[in-house]
Amino acid sequence: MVVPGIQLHDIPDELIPREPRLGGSCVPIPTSRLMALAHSGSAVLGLHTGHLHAEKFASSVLSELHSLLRLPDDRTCVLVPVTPDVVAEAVAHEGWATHLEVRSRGAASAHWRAGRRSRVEPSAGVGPPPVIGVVAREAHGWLDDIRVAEPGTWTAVDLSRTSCPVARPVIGDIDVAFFCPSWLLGVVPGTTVVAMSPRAVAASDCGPHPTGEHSRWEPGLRALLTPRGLASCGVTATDLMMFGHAVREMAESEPTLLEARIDARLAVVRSWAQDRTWITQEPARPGHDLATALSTSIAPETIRALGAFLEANHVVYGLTGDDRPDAFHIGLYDTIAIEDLTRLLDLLDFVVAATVGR
Amino acid sequence: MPTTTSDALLILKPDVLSGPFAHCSRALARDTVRGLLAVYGGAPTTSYEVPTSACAVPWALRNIDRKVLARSWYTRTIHDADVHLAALWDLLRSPGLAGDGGTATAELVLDAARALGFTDVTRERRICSYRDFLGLYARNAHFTRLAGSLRDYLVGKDIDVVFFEGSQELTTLHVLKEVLRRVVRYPIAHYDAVENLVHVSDPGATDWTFFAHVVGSTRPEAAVPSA
Repeated sequence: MVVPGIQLHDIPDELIPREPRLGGSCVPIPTSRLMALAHSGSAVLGLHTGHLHAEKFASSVLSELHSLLRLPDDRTCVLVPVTPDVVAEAVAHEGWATHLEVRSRGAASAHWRAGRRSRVEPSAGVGPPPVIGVVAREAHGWLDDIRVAEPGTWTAVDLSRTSCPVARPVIGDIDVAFFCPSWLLGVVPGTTVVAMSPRAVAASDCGPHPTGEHSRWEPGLRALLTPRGLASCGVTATDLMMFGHAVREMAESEPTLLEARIDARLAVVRSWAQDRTWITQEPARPGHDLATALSTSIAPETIRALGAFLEANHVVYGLTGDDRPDAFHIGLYDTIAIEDLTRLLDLLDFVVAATVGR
Repeated sequence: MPTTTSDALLILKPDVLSGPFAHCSRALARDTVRGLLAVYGGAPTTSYEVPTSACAVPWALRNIDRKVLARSWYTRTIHDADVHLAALWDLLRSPGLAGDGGTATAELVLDAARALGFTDVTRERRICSYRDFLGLYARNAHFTRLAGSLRDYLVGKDIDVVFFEGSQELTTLHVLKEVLRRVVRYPIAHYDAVENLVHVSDPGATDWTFFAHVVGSTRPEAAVPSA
């Protein structure tokens, strides 16, 4: 990708972040997490996934996760080898979710909304319960919205890329809460934590198929939650080992202070943005997002070209996205050094001045 | 198509400047030159002084032949063979490589490049910045596999950047790299693309272009524009 007016050798060395995974769609997995894979030695890695000790390890990790999320004992909590959009799709296929209303606005919300099953209107008597779906990072004030919902309302919330799972004790109040742990815990993407209320577990046991058939083996949540052990849950021992270390590290690092650490990074971005006339909105964290979008007055094609140029040269990854083509997406993760965040902001000054002269 | 003339880029990496391979035995240096002569048909391939070279040179030859088959631009052709093979023989018999003791590996590399027909026109020893690391490897096929190791190996360490002029096949420098790293650095072990002593790049490549802009430039770094 070539951007007129700028090449790698034009960028001063001191403006290049040492950690390129600074964009909102990237996960700056700490090196310690990778090194941790070696810590187990011969204990788990390499064992077949149904092995006694592999199973015991999986159980211990989930137990620690349950504690970290401050879940009530009656909550079911698992790690599944699918992305959150698959879990959202599973929710949308549940029999109890025929009246799912996805209230947030954004790319993930639109995808979830589009995947809803056909609405079946009740013929008589009590109808299906209202179900509120929310992608937290795409909604301001979603928690208040749920709190004022009518009694009996079901809730399903995608908490991916937010600090909510550990910073706020909210999961225990949601019927189906799920999140990709990569952003929050600094692990490789590809898995999803799913926590469910007893009624959601019970109702998902055997729901009616959209075609009218009745089966225990629908492509809904039950298929993801059936406790068939590590072997069939499909999460690799490598992913589980990395996840286990991340859960332990988060539990030991004052999770209640996480929000303050993320807000400190947002404050750096906000302070810098104040004097930039090409930034059109104050940077924010809707839904306790772990990333922020810098809305700009720059043409989307220029934003896209700059993002591609920086990615192609391994300077910054994930700075742009199709869901907000006018914006730079900046990660505020705890694993990002403030020094690198500052470098990124100075770099944005440089590339914007070089390409659009502002 | 093979290129016959140009300004090639050669970078001496940290190990060859101040690391454990900054010096090699003169016997290994002579075997390296013998290896080059073997590539271009100027010497028997079995007479080496260091026992490991008897396997290392044929190993290098196999790799070179594999690359000749795989890459359209990679060739075992050498122009003015009489002149340059004679220069390699002179280097082999030179006082600097005679007898026991050691020799500077960097000088061996440059002397061999000169014998092949290249003249170093620009040379700059510099501390490898993070930007230099990206300029060198960001478009390299090895980057995504070895980025962390390459960064740790290079950033903050000395590198010696040399631009050559010459009327010779550019591949001869790649062949020099192949023989050198096999005979001196990895005679009995497989190597990866990190600690392989030297880096060679051809004109027009992104790393060549990057260093052409940053080496020898007297212009100051651009100031950070204010928004």
